[in-house]
Amino acid sequence: MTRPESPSQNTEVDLTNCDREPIHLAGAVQPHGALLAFGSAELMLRHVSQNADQWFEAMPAVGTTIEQLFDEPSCQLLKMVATGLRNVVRPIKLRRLEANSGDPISAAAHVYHGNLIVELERPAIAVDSAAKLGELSLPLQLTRANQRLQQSTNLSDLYQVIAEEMRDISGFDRVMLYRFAEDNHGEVIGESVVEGRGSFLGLHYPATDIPEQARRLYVLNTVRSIGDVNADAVPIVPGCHADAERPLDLSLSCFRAVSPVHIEYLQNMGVRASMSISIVIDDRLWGLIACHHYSAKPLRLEERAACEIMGLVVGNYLSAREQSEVNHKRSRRRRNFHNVLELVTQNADVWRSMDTIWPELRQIVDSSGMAVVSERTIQRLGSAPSEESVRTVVQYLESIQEEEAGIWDTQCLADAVPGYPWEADSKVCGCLAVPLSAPEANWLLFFRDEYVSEVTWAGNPDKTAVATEGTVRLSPRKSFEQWKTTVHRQSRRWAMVDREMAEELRSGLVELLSLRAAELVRLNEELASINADLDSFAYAASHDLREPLRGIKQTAFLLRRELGTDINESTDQRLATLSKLASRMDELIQGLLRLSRAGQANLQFERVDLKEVVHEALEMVVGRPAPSGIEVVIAGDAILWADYLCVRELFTNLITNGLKYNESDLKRLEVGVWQNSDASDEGHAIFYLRDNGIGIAPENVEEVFQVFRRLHLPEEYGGGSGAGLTICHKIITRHGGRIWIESEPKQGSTIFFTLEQVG
Amino acid sequence: MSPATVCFIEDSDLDFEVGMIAVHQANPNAQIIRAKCCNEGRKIIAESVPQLIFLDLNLTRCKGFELLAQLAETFPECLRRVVVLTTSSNAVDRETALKLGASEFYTKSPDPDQYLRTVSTIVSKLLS
Repeated sequence: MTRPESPSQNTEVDLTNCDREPIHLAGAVQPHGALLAFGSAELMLRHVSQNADQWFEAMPAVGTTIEQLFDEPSCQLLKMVATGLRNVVRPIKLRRLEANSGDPISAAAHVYHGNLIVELERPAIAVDSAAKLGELSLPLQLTRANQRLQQSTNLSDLYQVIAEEMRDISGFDRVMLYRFAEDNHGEVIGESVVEGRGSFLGLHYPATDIPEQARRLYVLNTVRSIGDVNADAVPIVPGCHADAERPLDLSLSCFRAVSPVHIEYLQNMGVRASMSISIVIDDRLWGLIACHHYSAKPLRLEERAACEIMGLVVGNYLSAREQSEVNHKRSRRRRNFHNVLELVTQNADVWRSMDTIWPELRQIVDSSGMAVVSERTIQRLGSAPSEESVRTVVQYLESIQEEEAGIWDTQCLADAVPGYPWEADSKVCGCLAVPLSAPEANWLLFFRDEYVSEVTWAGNPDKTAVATEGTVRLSPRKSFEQWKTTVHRQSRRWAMVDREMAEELRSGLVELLSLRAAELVRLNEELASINADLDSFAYAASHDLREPLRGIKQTAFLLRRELGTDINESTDQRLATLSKLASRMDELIQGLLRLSRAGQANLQFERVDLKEVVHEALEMVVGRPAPSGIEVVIAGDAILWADYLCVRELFTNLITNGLKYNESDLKRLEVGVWQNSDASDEGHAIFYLRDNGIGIAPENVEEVFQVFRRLHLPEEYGGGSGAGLTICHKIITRHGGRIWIESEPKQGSTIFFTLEQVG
Repeated sequence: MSPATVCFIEDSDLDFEVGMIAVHQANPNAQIIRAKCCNEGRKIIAESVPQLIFLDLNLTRCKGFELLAQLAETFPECLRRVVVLTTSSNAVDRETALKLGASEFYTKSPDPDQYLRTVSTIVSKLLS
C-alpha cells in the first residue's frame, strides 16, 4: 500500500514524513456518512461524496441548489448556518425535498474556507446504535459522569474516572486517557477496558505516532471517529472544484476518510473502530481520550456531540485539578520564598556564605544542588558540578541570551550545552538557570541529579521505512508488545511550578538587590560627605595639632642655645625630656592620622599582584636596592582582589615591624600563600609574612593589634607610634578578612591574614 | 659686594628664629628680612629684590599658593628664587607649588636640628 500523496520518485524517508501527509485533504469520506459541499455564497453544490445517492433518490449533480435537495425549513436552517459563525460544526435535522412525510436526517453543517459542508448520517446507524444504549439518555449519562468527576479527590482518581465514564457513555471496548509530554510523546495515564483485553495503562507512545498536522487537527476538530477501518472510503467528486486551487478541506468534517498509514496502524493493533476526543487546555493539546473498539462502530452525531461535551468538561476538571495541585505546591514554596527574601534583607552578606539560605532555596526550586555565580566567584552547594562545568554552562547561557535574559532549563546538560565536560563522578544532569545580573550574583543555577527511569513503550518506538514496489514509505510498527527502554543521563523534568517559582525568585531578588544598590549609592554619598569632613579634620589635625608640638621642641632647642655652656645637668635633662615627649606626641598624632586614613578612604578594588605590591612596599621601607643584611623572599604567585594602596600600606607596616623588631644579623622576611586550604575562608586565601625577629610572648599576641599598644620602651627598637598593626587590622577587616599572629619569643613571628584571591 | 638678602615669608616666630640661625650659620653676612603675610611678602619682594625667598604655605589670612600665582604675574623672574618651606608633606601641595613656579619644595622637619640643617644647606647651595 503506497500513500497516494507521496511522490513515487521521492525515496528520502524520515520520521517526519507523516508530518507532511495532507490528511485534511483526504478527498473521501467514511461510508457511514455522506458529504455535500455547497459554495457558501450561492449555495450551489460543488462537491459530493459518491454514496450520496443512498440518501437521495438520485446522485445530486454538481450545480444543484439547496432548494432542489431540501425542503423549505431545512433550506432556511442551512442558510442560517451559511451566514452564521464560521468554523463551528452545527448539528441539525434536514428533510429531503422529495420525502415530506419521512423521518428527518441527522446532519452536521459547517462553513469552512468558503464552503458550506453538510454531512448526513445514515438513518439505519442511528437506529442500531440507539438500541445499544443503556437505559439512561445521553444527557442523563453526562450528568452522572459529571457527578463522578466532581467526587474524585485526586488526580490519579480523576484520570481513572474519566476513562470509566467515557467508556460507559461511548460503549467502546477500551477507553484510555492519554497525556502528551513536552516532547510530544504520550503516556496512558487512565484506562477502562473490556474484560479479556490486556491493559495499556502506563505505556508510552512515541511522538511520531501522532504526526504534527494530526495534532493541529485535534485542536481544530476535537472529536475524531473511525467507524470501521476495513470499510472502503467513498471518494468525493470532483476532487478539485473549478474555482479552487486545492481539494476540498475536510479539517472540520465528521466523516473524513482515514489516512492509509493510520488505518494500517490501527489494523496492526487489532482495532476495528476508534474515536479520539481532544483535551485542549489553554489552547494547547493536553492529551486525548482515545477509544478503541474491536468491531465496527460508527458513531452517531448525537454521541459525537455528547463526547465533545465530555471532552470540554474533562478538560475543565483536569485543568482545575492540576492548577489546584500546582497552587498547593506554589503556596508551600512561597513560604520558603518569603524566608529567602527576609534573609537577604536582613543580611547583605548572605551571598558570601549561602549555607543559611540554601535549605530554603532548594525548596523553592525543587533541586539537589546549586551554584551562585558572581563576576569573580562560583559558590557550589549540595550536588553541583565542578567549577569548570558551571563556567561552561554560564558561558553558553551568556552567548545565547538576549539583553533581557530569562529562565532557562534542561534535563540533560550534556545535550543542551555544547562542550559540557563529562564528569564521571558527577550525578548532575538537569539545570535551571536564573539570571540576576547583580554584582553579588549574576546567575543562580539550580541542579538536579540523574534520574534513571524505565519507559515502557507500546512496541518499538522507532518506525521503519519499507521498500514497496520501487518506492519507500514509512510503515507503522506491527508489534505492540511492550518495549522497555532505560533512560540515563537525564534528570526529572523541571515542572511549570519550578519555572514559575524561579521567575518569582528572580523578580523578588532583582527588586531587593536594586533597592539595596540604591540604598548603597545613598549611603556612599553620605559616606563621601563624611569622609570629606574627616579629611578636613585630618588636615587640620596634622597641621594645627603638630604645629604647637614643633613650637615646644623649637623652644627647648632655642633655650638650650641661649643657655649655652651655662646650662646645668638637670636643666639639660629636663629640656631633653621635653623634646622627647613632644616627639612622642607627634608620633602618636601621625599614627592616628594614618589609622584614620586607612579606615575612611573608599576602597578601589582591583587585581593586585602580590609580588609587585610587596616589592613596592619593601622599596618604600628600605629603598632600592635593599641594604645588605636584609633578605626578603616572596614564595608563590597570587593575584588579590583588593585596594592596591591599602595592601601596600599593609605590607609597609608588616615589613617595617619585621625588620624593626629583629636582632638577627641577616634579617629575613618571607611572604607567601598558605597552602593549608582547609583553613581558608570562603573565597579567601590565607597569606603570611614570617620574620626571624625577636618574637612575641603568647600572652601578648592579641594586644599588639590595639592602637598605641607597645611592648617595648619608646627608645627601644627605633620607637614608633604603636599604630602599625592596628592599621593592618583595619585594612584587613575592611577587605572582609581576618588577621592573626603566631609567634614565640626569639623564634620569630608569622603574621597571617586572609584576602580574596582571584585568577 | 653687598651682602645677600634672604627673605622669610613666615608667620611662625619660632620657625623664623631657627631659620635666621640657620641662614647666619651658612652666610654670616646675609641680610634677613621677614614678612608675616602675603601682602607684606609681595611688598618686600618688590622693594628689596631678595636673592632667596623662603615661603611658608599656611600663612595667616592667605595661602602661599596665592602669592606664588601673583608673583608669576608680576615678578615672574623672582620665582626661581622662591623655596617653599612648609609643614605639609602632601604630594599634591608639592606638585602645585612646583607647577606655580617655585624652584624647590621642602617639608619642615619636626626636629629643630634637622630643620636648621635643611635651611642652612639651602642657603649654602643657592647663595654660593
